Amino acid sequence: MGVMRLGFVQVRVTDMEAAKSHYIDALGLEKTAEVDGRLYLKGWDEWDHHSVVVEPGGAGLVKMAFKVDQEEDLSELEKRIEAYGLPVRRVHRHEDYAVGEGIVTTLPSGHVLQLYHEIEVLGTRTGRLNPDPWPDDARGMAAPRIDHLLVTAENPGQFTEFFTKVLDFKISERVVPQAGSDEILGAWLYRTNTPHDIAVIPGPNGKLHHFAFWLDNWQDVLRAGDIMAKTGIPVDIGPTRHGITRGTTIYFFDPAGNRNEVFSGGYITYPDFPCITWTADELGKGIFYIQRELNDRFTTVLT
Amino acid sequence: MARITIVPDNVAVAARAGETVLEALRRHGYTMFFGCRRGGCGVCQVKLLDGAVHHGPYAPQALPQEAQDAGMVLACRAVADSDVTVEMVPSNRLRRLTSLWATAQTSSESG
Ligand code: FES
Ligand SMILES: [Fe+2]
Repeated sequence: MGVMRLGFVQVRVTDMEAAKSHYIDALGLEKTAEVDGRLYLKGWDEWDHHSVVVEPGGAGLVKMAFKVDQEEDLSELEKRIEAYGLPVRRVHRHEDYAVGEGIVTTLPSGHVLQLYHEIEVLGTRTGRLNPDPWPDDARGMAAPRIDHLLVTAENPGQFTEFFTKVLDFKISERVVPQAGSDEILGAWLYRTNTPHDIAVIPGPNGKLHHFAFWLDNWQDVLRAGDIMAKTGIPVDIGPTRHGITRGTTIYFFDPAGNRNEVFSGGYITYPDFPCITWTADELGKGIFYIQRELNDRFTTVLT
Repeated sequence: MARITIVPDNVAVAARAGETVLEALRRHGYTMFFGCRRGGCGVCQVKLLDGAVHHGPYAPQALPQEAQDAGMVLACRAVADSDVTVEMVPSNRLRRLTSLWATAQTSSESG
């Protein structure tokens, strides 16, 4: 079946203590390990060992890792990636803490992509037997899980081609220069049944635009905004709504300047979901539906 | 209290102890183009013409060596250690935000 979903993002930060108070106290993630200077985190509703890895060393994305459905998918995808012309390196078991064997490649956009199947399963505190709907000691924004990430690439069309042709992602929405054009300026890509697991917009290679945490509803997004105000977290924009994905959102920054998002809503996707198209002249509405205007910060502030 | 002078605008504001250049400007009713406010993105670079600053945590990519050699500092992370003069880069611009508030601030400071 291939790639199942976004597994984890690994990011650099300038200050580990500040990152802890941000991701654990404010976002409400659970610390699952701290090994060799790296911090491993998961949302309260995530079963696997981690969905975010934080390490010292500046800002930006170290790598993004997707979980595949079957162990055999790894060798199949290794062949496909090599056939596409990219070198693949085998990641051996426990090279990454708690993660099994995998493969890693550097995309033409400079982003490091890892695929793995096995990861330690910790479960959730609500459990699998007659569970309560949420755990008692939820903190801050109490983000249940990671949702997606957005990166920039000098050639978004090529980036999209790799994800669709090699990894069998589907495009939920795309941006083209004008109606009728097939030139991809940006794409929202999925393997799950959400509007996107990863998206790409034009910009410098290798950069992270943001990674996002799911919240259950708009009220929780608003409450997350209150927590940002109370704790002095710099907000980029929102609460507002994206035209693309229809999700409600706040963009904000972690203490290293990496952009985070809390995201809720949007539609579901499925194998015969059609691709929605936005023209560049309407992109303001596509990104910030209510403001209907792209600001310079959206296009230039990256890590 | 360090005095921060912005050129070419010739605006001077007083920074509180530990306050960054950007924080001092904003507290006085001015703004400029900035991004993460956390030393990650580098869009708030300004040029230090005179005086000394120290930086809070920032990512190397936000202020690469070439930029440092050219005298650039990050407005969101630079704290003035003395009276300083900083220059806006051509692509950035100091703007006055809330004239009502700035007026109140000016009169309370002169009083
Ligand atoms: S605003 Fe991002 S480094 Fe200053
Ligand atoms: Fe997003």
